[in-house]
Amino acid sequence: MNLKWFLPLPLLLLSFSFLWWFTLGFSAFTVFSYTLKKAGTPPYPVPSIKLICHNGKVVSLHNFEKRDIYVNFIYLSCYYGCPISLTKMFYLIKNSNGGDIFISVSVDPERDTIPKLKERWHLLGGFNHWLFCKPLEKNWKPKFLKMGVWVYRRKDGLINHTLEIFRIRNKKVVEVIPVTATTEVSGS
Amino acid sequence: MILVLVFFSLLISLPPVDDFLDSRMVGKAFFQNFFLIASGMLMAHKTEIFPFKDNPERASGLIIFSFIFLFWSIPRSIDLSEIHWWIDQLNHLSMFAGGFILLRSLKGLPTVAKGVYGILFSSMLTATAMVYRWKKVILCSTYTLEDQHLYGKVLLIFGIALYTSVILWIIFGWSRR
Repeated sequence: MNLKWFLPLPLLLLSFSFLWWFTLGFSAFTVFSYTLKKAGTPPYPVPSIKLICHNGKVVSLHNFEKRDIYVNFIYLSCYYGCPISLTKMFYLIKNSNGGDIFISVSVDPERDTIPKLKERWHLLGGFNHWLFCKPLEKNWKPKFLKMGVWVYRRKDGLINHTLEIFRIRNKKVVEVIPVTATTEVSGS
Repeated sequence: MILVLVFFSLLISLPPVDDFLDSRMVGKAFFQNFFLIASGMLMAHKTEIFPFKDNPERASGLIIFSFIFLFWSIPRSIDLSEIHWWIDQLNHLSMFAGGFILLRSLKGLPTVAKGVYGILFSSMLTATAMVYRWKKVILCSTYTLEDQHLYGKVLLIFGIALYTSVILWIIFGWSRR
């Protein structure tokens, strides 16, 4: 067989396979969806992330057994995605049975101080079961990645991050709740 | 001519010009990429490097170019090339090589195949542009939504222009027969 006619077929197959592998079966085209997919299909384990909250208390996502924890990721100077995510949290709080815990975790722990988090918590209704926290550990990013959360700080200080809300029960992510009409991507 | 092409390709691939172009999505994913493709095409036109007899790339070359272009249009690829310097350089190199391969392949193909590929490629370009232009969520974590929409708009204009040019080229090609 003439090589000129034979070569395109394996090349096409190779290109297709590479794109398939790179996008996890044509399902993850962005870093947000890729990170989420890589973390696993719910239920998957949550890494032990220690957080310090607006009330000064230290909590871990492993703390609240037998209760549902809803976790979203925000930062206080965020103007695009976080308000949508917080609105969804409001909606979930309104529809919760009262026993659930809601945690908004800052992805900008350097700038979002405890007094600032407390101020925002107060501004957003001061719910007892809604905590505004930030990671206690310095090297928090790998743990967030393991959970399926992508965080990228641009040079201008803007942080693009995952907006989905994670429902956690018994140390496992049991549901990933989209905040936008589509589940494909997130951002801030 | 060849030296000028190499010089300009290197110039836009290295800092500070690269940093400047990378600061906006339209600079990185449109101007830089298309400049490198055009440089590669011009290089293939002007040189006799790798003088493969009868341009044996043909369809294989088109597949390689389409793959390269499609891969670097994926939001995650754009993000990775923005985050890692070496991936960014790989992007530049592959776009240049893609342009080089594209022209050699086109030269070896019959007119009908050129027309079909032109329509398919411009359709792909327009579809990609529509996603970037009208998606209301951030696709690339390294850029803003405004950046993304601007890139989509520019790519859309380019895609439609290319589409129109290909169709006109086909029509005039037929009418000349």
